[in-house]
This record gives sequence, structure tokens and C-alpha cells, in this order.
Amino acid sequence: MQPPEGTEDHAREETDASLIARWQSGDQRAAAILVERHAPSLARFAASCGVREQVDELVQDTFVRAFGSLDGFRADSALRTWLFTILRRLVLDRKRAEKRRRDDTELDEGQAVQEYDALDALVADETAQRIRIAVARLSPMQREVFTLRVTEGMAYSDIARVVGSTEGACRVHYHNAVRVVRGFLDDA
Amino acid sequence: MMRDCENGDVRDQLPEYLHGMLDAETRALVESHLAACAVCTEELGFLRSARGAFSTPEVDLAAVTRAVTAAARRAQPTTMGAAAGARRWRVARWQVAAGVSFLLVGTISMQLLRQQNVDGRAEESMRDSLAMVTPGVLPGVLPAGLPSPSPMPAASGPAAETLTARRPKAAPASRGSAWSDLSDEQLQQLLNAIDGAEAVPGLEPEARMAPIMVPAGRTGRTGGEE
Repeated sequence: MQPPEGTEDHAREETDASLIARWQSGDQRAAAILVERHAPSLARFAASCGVREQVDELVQDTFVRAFGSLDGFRADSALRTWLFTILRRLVLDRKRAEKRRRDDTELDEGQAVQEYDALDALVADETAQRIRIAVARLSPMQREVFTLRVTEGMAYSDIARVVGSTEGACRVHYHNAVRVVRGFLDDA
Repeated sequence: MMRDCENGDVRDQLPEYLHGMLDAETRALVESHLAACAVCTEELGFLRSARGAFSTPEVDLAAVTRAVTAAARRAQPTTMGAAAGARRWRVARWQVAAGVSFLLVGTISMQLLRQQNVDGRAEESMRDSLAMVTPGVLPGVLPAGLPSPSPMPAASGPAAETLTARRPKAAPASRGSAWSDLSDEQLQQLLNAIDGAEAVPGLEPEARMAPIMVPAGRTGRTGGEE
């Protein structure tokens, strides 16, 4: 049984397309529901991509850009996939900017993960910490595919859209990533 | 030692199973496989750990919503400005279309008028040509008593006046006569007179003849020149 129309529960069960239509007709509550629905996943993905500072700023920029160009949003792709695509571009832009400031991005990423791990060591269990280190050692493409598949449960077709690759290539990246991470855990 | 399950289809769907995204039928299939496959059960445990390994950074959802709303509010005047611009452009397009249509109609009208003038001049030219061969214009060509033909039907207007003015009054054309009234002999005389008449010199300048250079030491006649 569906919740009554106009209630909070009903709004939470509305599809993204319906909420977008409400937002475009001037209902600002629709934006709040969409943000609440997708922001945590985006923040998690940004963090798994190695972003440690100002994650909320990245998420905010993602939503501002997405809502600013909703007219160009194609209904045949999910809003969620589109948001992840925008966020990924912002993450890459930020990394390029950081790379210009510092010379060695890969080293920075490793350091960032270690610093993050050091801070969280008191609260995180050992397996999770090792998984994060192993994921940080993956290639950027493997890491993105692995994260989107494992932490977000995204289908290969959507992952391919987000990372700008093919479904088959994403499948290969995922299985290679699983093999590398599990191998790292077994060796430890 | 890590092993891979031979049932790749089920193994490939473990992330979806973990996130509860499978339909009931596929979920039952995966669960029955998991009950008998230690490798996939182990991989599912790994995926569950990996999923929980990444904590979600805190995001101020209200701040994000406020930023989205503020950005949309800032963009609104621009959108309205764009709409106004589009309206202005639509009006301008109508004006341009009207102007082009006016010019087109005007040009076509001018062409038609010009064409009529050209036709009028051609008619006048034809009348002049006929007037040239009338007995009045070529006095003495036709024998006395030869009826003057009426080259054109009764005309009016400036062209007709010009034609009348050119016709000598001393030899008025007899109205009602025509070329068909002339006898064969008279026609032959008229044709002879036309053949013998001096042609009007052309307006084009004469072609300059390049001087023929005679090589030094060579004697003799060149090209008919003395």
C-alpha cells in the first residue's frame, strides 16, 4: 500500500524523475529530498576516490551543477548515474589542480590514505583498514569501478557511463580489482 | 588461497544481492547457490566487509539544498533574460521577413516594368525599321504611284507620334494599303532599293591592324600591300 500523496513518506518513495518534475515546477522540497537521497553515496564515492578534504564542497558543487542543467538531463539515464558522472569529473579536476601544485599525485594519494587510516585507526577494525589500503593501491579505473560496484551496487552499464568506458571493460576491471584486494588481504 | 567459483553468473550478481537489488526469482537462485558454494559465500563476506570499510563522510544536507536553491534563484533572471531575448529575436525575425518580402515584391515589380519598357522599345525599334523601308523615308526608291504600305497597325502614344513625325508630309501614306497590295515588279524594285541602300556604319571602332613587320634584308611583296 502506497503512502498518501503529499506526505513525507510518499515523497520519499517518489521516483527521481517525478521529483525533478516537481523541482522544475517550483517545488523546492523536491530538491531537499533528492539531496538527501543521493548526497551520502556521492560523498562515499568521493572519499573512496581519495578525496579527504572538503568532500561536502564537492558534493554541493555536484548538485549545483546538476540542478543548473536539468534541462539538458536525458531521462533515459538515471539521475544517480548522472550525479556520479559529474562528481567524478569534479574529483578529476581537483586532482589535476593538486597535481599542478604538487608533483607526485600517486604519492599524495598514498599519504592521504595513510593519514586517514592513522586518524581512523582507533575506531576502524583491522580488516576494513587493510581493505582501504588495498583499494588505494588499485589503478584509478579499478578503484572507481570496484567502489561503484561494491559500495553502491551499481550495474556495469551505469558504471560504464560514469567512468566513460564499456560494460565489458568495467567487468574486467571489477574482477581484477577483487583479485588484487583479496590477494592483498590474504598476504597480510 | 583465493579461488574463483565456476558459476560466473551467480558470482557476478553478488554485489547486486548484497545491495538487495535483485528480483525475487534471481535472489532465490543466488541464495540456493550460496547455500552450496563456499567460495561464493566467502566472496560475499569479503564484499560485505569492503562495503563497510568506507565510512560516509558527513555532508550538511541542508547546506547543499540551500546552495542548490540559491544557485537556481541566481540563474532565474538569466533565464528570464534569455526568454526576453528570444522574444525580441522572434519580433526581429518577423520584421526582417517583412522587409525581405517588401524588397522582393519591389524588385519583381521593377523587373516587370523594365521588361515592359524593353518590349516597348523593341516595338518602337521595329516600327523604325519598317519606317526606314517605307517610300517616305526612302524617297525616290519606289516608283511613282506605288502605294505606301502600312507597316504597323494604328498606333497611339509617344512612339506613334515619333513615327508620324519622321514620316514626310509630302508623301503621305495612303491608309488602308499594305505590302500585299504591291505587285511582284514593285516588290522586286523595293528589294533592289534596299540592297542598294548604304548600310548604317557600325558604332564599334574599327579593329586596329597590327603593322606587318618585314624582316631586314627581305624583299618582296607582303600580304597584298604595295
